[in-house]
Amino acid sequence: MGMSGPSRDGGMMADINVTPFVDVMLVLLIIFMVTAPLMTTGVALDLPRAEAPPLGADEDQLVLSVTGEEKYYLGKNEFPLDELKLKLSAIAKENPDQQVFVRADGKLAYEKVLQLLAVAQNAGVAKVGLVTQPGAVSEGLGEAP
Amino acid sequence: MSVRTLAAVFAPLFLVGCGVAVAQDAPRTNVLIEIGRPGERAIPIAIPLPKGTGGPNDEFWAIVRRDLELSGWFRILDANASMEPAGAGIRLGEFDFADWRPTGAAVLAKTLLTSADDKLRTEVWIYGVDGAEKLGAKAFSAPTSGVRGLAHRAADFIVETVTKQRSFFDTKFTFVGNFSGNKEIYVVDADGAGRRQITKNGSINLKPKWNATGTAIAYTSYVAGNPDLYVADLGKGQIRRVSNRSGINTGGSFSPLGDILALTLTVGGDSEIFTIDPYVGREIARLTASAGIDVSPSWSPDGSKLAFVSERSGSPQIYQMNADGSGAKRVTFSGSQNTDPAWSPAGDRIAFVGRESGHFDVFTVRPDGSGMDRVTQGSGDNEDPSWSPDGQYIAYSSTRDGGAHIWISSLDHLHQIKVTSGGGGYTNPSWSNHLSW
Repeated sequence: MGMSGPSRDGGMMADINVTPFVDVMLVLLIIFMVTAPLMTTGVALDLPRAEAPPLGADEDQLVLSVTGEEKYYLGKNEFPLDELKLKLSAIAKENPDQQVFVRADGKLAYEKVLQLLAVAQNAGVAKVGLVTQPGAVSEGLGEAP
Repeated sequence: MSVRTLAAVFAPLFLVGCGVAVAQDAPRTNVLIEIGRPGERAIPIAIPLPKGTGGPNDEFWAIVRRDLELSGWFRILDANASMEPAGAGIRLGEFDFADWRPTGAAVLAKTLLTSADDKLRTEVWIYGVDGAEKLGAKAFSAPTSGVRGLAHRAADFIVETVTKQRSFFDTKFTFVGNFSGNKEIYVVDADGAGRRQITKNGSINLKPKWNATGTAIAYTSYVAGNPDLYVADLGKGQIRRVSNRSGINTGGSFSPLGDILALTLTVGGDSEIFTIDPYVGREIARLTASAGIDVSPSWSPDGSKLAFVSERSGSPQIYQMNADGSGAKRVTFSGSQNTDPAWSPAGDRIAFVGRESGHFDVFTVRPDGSGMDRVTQGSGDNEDPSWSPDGQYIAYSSTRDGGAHIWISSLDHLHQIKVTSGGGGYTNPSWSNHLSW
């Protein structure tokens, strides 16, 4: 394997272990990027910035948010993670086409975001979108409800 | 063919065109809940646990959900499928429709159950989720012991508000139950609960049939050795024998006005249909006089005709005749054995049992013999059809689950559901009219 010894031309193989990332990518059927200006939910998050074109979103959106303090929200209502998992899987069962938009605080560790995606995936959600702030740094989001 | 009960409401659309597409939080443009017939298209409905304390909330909730499930109109969403916080209320403005939209619910039925002064009180608030609008709200109360009736009324209100159709939750079945080794007559609520024994004679009791007001049941019993016809008067709590003529006295069927009983009697070794008065059993008329059996009379809803089974053509087939016995006409021509006719409340169809490849199945046909339609297929024996008061459902006994149980089917056959539970022993169901709550 990569680290088993010098390769033919004498250098070290510097492979990144991509297995965990591939795992996550496989379990998520669709990941797409959306921008946040039309969010009606009011959980204050400092979202990651990214240059991505906004996708259309309808009013039935289900937003799963997690704050920097690891508080979990469905829409604008906070739930303990266990209860949130129950609710998310019930909703995914009853309404399989429902998209889930994940809003994670930009300060949150990447690992935590992946865990949240896994929560959605385990709940049976087929479509997951990651929510970002469009473009460069803008002023902060509104107050929490 | 579907009836759209909620007209499309067009609300103003606000479009903002500027670089980024912005979805406005505008009212929905199309408020539409598609209503067909029970079973045709199940309406997704969310029914959260009743709010309020001190009452039997869980029991109330279970009865409402069971009723709605039996009706076939609804698909009841998982109770966890909600984003609503615990503190949300039941009235308009006390909760947020956005917490329900992602669940896919078309209808949201919120209830409150409270107990005070030896009374239970419930409020039922019904909303269209897409239109964020109230469809109806009503309060009911009952004595503390009346949680079942209260829940049935709440469920009926939900069905009526959403579908504009009356439910059958205020009806009962009478049936032959074999639970003690004897075939006795029982009554059970339309949701399969509240079973009550009517006869307790240790003999054989058969073919109970309601009168139109649900106050009396005619049935045949061997308690005196001969198959005699009895009437159980539920109001008075009395059982009286109305016909003990020599031979069989079976298939008693009340006329729509309740003033005449049609039944099968024996004449010279052959069975013929007669009418008698339901109190003292005095003979009114003899309706048939043909070789071979004539049995199982069933009144048309206006009382002008009777459907019955006759062997006059060689095999048992469904016939109809005028109430005075004139103008007999054959209705069924296919199959070698068609029995147990039941005329629909609208008068437009006759349900019956046909025997095909060794199994009994329920069919319906127009009284003129056209439009034969199959209700059950390939699932045990299905017998003794009986119509719901509004003719939207047919009840029958079926052995598809092993033991014999009462099942109901929507007219399109798509919704077939078992009403009774346990090990079986339910046969000969007869569906009552609407009763008082």
